[in-house]
Amino acid sequence: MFKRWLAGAFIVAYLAALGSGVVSHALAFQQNAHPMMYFVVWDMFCGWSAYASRTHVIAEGESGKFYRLTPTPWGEYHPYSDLGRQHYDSFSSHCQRIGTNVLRHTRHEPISRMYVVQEAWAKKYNVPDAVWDRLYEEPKDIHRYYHLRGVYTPQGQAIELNDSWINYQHMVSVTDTRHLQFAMTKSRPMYDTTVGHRQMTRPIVLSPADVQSESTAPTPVGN
Amino acid sequence: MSTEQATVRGGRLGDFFFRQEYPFGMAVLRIVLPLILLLLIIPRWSHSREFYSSDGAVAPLAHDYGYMNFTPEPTGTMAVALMTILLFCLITASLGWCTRLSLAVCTVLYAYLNLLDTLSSMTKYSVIATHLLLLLAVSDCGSLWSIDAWRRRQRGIPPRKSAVWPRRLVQVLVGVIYFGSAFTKMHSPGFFNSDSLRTWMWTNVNNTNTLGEYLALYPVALIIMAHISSIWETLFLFLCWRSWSRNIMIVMGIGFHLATVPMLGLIIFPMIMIASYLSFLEPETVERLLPRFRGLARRIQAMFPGTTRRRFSQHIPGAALRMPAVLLFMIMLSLTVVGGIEIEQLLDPYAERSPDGPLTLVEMEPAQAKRMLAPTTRLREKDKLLAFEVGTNVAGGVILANRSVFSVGDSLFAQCTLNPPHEDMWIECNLLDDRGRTVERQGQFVLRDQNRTGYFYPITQLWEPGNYSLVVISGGQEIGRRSIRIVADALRPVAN
Repeated sequence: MFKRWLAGAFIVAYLAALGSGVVSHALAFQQNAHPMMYFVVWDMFCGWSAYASRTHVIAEGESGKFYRLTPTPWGEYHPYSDLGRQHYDSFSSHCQRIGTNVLRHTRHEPISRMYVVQEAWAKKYNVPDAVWDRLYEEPKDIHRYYHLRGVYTPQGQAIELNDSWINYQHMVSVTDTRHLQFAMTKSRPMYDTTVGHRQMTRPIVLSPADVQSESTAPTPVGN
Repeated sequence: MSTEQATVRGGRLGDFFFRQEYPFGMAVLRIVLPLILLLLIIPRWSHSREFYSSDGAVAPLAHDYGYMNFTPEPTGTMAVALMTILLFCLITASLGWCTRLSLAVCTVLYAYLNLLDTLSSMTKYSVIATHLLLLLAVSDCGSLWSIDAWRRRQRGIPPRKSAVWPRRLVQVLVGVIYFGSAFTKMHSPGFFNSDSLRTWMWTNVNNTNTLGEYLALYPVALIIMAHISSIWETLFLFLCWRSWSRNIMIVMGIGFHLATVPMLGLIIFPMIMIASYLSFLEPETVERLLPRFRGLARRIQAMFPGTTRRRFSQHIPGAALRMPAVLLFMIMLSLTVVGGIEIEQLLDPYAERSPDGPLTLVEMEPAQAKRMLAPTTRLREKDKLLAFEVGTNVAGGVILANRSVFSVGDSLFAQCTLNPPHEDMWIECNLLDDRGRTVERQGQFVLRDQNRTGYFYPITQLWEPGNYSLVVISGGQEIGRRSIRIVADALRPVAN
């Protein structure tokens, strides 16, 4: 009887986990709240891009020479096709570790900087020539775009981080409008650090047009 | 052996989960699934130190969720030991030796090691495999067609029945996977209008997918497939229980997953999903097929005279047969782990103990480095165009079939498909004659959230038969061109 109750509890817990994943995914609520959500949210092929992307990790020595850290010098493993694992780092959150690992296990001059560079091109250039000839009359003219994702110390500490190439192009396309550029420069981000030390009578802003309300209650900030 | 339709406490729900049966389907899944996973683990074993340890470059999935210390990172030797244990337990699970222990260890280690490497190990098929390993571990899949079952038979213990609930949970899992996947498709802009599928078929991050590259020439086919697959995924969970609808769903599923091999370059994912369909193998079906397999086995055995079952046990030392299975398992496991660690040391994965010492870095051409580190450039106009198609019929919002010859009286429809992201654009589609003179000019706004724009040209008698070109202009540059020919309509007089 105990085994049956135990089985029942497992069934209920398992179905609840699966169900919570479906609901979370359907309502787009907390689906990325915890790594274990990856085990119950079924979002295969959840996005797409019209541009192919590759990632390169390079190092700059103190002599000014540049070195390739990928593909790794001891041989590159191809997990899914003929690409190394660094090319699957969509968020560019792990490549610096690949770089530091290579530096740790190789012989080299002192390194001053490590760079993670994203390479992109339009996916239409991936098609075989026979398909290309049916789709387009002009010859293939692949242009590869390079975009600096991150600059790191040889120990892997981030010095500069940039958004992905596709987000950069999206930002450029959206802000390529005069009135949007004016609105952006007129309203710069700000953060008041003196709120905790005095009673706030009115918000400190850069533009008089942004004054909406006044607050008289003290708002403690920080420790 | 026969399966009883026993009446179980709890009514229909109790019968659904706790009916007693021989776990045929789960036993076959237990044999097949670890073999599939070995295709992944064996090539990665020699990279254990690099992928799964602090002496390498782990890529924890938890970091992408903002959890920096979620998965502890083992040392290099520990990572090798864990991968060796996983490899050993996958083999023993498939053979059915200390089955429950093997599967439990596989579940924990497979999940843990995959969590450490989101770049080259953790994918959705890893997640599905983890679920299947867990459900196999809680089932009685080792009671059939396994070393454990053979040892019990040696002691005179017959095969036993067990509750069906682990198999039911696998069935529910498969249905929920498809149901959740259908939501993903509904939430994906561009899935139902072929943009998403087309670009996925032109992606080279998976294996070769020649069929997919050619199929992307026919967006209407992709739209039809997108709708069918989405409907099938939504209905699977509800229709996979009755025999006739279950068979239809399973057959469609096998076809769908096999099609992803040449179309998307997937291999392991369809293997795991098709293996999970073994949970829908009903005991009655197996009992109907077993006599045929026994006949086949006897015919094969007859081809090798003198080979009997007793010969197999004669090769095993008597001491091993008398030893408790778990003790023997632990001894074999320990020896394998020690051997694995020694072999990995000899392999020297980082080549640090080569005659010349550690490897040196590959120097880059300065010009190449300068090009890579230069400021990011804006998109070329021609790269914003995905496709420029011309035809006379539109279905699902895309050109049904490309044409290059048109008759007077036809309605020519030209469609530009753009690559996102792009700014608000003004795109012209101009009709030029064979001397390059503009015959007709049309232009349209294409807003940043639009990926398609169309131009309509009724072919009238005002246009002389001959060769023409449709040219797409954006930002003052030609980004696409299609040559067409207008012919006189043979049934109608051209002149007055």
